[in-house]
Amino acid sequence: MFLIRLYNWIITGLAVLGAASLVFISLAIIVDVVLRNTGFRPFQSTSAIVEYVMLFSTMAAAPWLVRNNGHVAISSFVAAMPETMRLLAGRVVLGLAIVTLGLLCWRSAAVGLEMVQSRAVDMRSINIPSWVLYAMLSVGFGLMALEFLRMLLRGETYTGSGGAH
Amino acid sequence: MVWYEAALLMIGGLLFLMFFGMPVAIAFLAINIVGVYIFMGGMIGIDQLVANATTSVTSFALVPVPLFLIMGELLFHTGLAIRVFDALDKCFGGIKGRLSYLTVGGGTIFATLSGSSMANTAMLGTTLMPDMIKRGYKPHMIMGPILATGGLAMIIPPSSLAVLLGSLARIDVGALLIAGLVPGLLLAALFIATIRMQIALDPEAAPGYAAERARFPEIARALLVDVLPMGIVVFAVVGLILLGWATPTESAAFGALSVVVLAACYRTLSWEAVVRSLTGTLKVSAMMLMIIVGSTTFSQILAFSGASSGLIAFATSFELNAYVVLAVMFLVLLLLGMFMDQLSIMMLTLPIFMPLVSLYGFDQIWFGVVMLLALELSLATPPFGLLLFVMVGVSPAGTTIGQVARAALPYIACTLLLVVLLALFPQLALWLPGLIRS
Repeated sequence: MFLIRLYNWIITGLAVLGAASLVFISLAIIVDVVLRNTGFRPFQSTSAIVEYVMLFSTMAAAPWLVRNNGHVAISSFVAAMPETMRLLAGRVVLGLAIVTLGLLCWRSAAVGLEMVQSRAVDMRSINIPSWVLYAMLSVGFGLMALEFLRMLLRGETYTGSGGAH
Repeated sequence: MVWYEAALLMIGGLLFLMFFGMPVAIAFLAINIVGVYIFMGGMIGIDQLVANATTSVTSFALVPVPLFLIMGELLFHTGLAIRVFDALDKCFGGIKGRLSYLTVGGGTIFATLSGSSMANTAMLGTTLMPDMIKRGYKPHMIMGPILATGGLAMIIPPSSLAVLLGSLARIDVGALLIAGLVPGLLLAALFIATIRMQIALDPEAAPGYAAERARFPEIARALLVDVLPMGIVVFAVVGLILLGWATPTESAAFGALSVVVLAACYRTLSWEAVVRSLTGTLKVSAMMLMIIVGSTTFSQILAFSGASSGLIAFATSFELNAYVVLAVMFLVLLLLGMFMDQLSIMMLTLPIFMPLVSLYGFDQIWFGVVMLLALELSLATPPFGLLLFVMVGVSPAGTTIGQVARAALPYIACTLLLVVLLALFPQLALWLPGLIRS
């Protein structure tokens, strides 16, 4: 029970961090422009951090979006299927999503570990260890796979009703 | 594997997964895994896919996407957008169809303040529709203008979709944003002319009622207090780019800041409004960017497998006139738009369309505007245009997609007319960016 609560807290907490990080980049950019246009030297790290936050906020919110059916999906054709066919399609979609995301979680972690061992560096406006981006992907893909698995185990189907279509 | 087999596997496989109900972002990832495994050397290809994903959205050019969304959501949730409508409402007096005109006028202003078509349509629907129904407007006079004006946010800067299109197609984002301004305003004017014609043909469609025009001091005060300050938002976004003080990315942050400052001045900046705005922003931003993460390698696989060059060679083998090719591309966008979201359409078509655009010598910025118009149009085309569903969602119970689609038809014709005008007079889109460059 505690583990489930902790897991739920992680999913929501990551989404909150994703939203907060968007506020942070807005402020960082504003400070940067003001410094530049008032003759001061802007922070060298701003653009690199802003770019990293783009992936962070996306991967942090992605599992929460799965839970809320927020990733856009085309439901019109599935909705026209007979009930049993629709349920079967829903199961197949969840299964494929779990396999796809599980595979990508594994490969992201594996490549990330190689980056740690080779001490690779991502050279942007500042140098950042290359494994950071792979870690974001691995955790994001992994949690998304878990969310789809949770849906499968609860007998739910993904509708995409919280998304655009 | 010959090019058409590769194209069938990648494009057909992707469409199959999407229509099977798989989330678009995951469908791209799944088909990309199959593609890289076959065409890029097995597991090494999958590692390359992961490496591409790390660079997919870590781009400064994409930053305006969430920032424009924050702007639009804040304008909506702090009630600033409604204040603009209330102020404009005072100006119209008792003219026939005033609420339809108000929809286009207010919606156009909101489109210049926000980058979201969905937010625009939902706001217009929820705020103006109840009053229009109460006043006895016929359904097509209610839903048509709302649906049409909602889509303007996609063209008139700031537009999140223009930023996405610019960065994905490697078109100058600042120029593309500015290029949408004149066609967007022209489209709004065409919408107004359409309303006027509809009322002339059927005077009962929008019954006149005794709405007293507010006195001049009251109108002046409303415009001064509630509309004019919104110019700060427009200045923060467009003005800072024009002055060269900020890049399009940076100006988006100032746009968001200006809305926060205005909301604070009007004392409408509540914690609840901020939380709702950020939640809405995160939902749309993460959904869009996740599609980019998923689809980044798609165009590479198409190129690597020979599908892109094969398709382009096939398209050019007919030796068609450039404008026929353009019309076919427009039609493809419309057809895809009936079933798919705008970003997925871009990711699917840009790898094929952009080489054709270069080959036939179309201006990239001009094509960007035409593509945005096609995407805007596809939102309102039956049977699955997204805005049709948003409209049904905010309409009274019993409203059908068919009713909404019929109401949209005259406005769809306006957009088609604008595309023809753009083909005849490309300067409509290119004049302003050219002016800024010079």
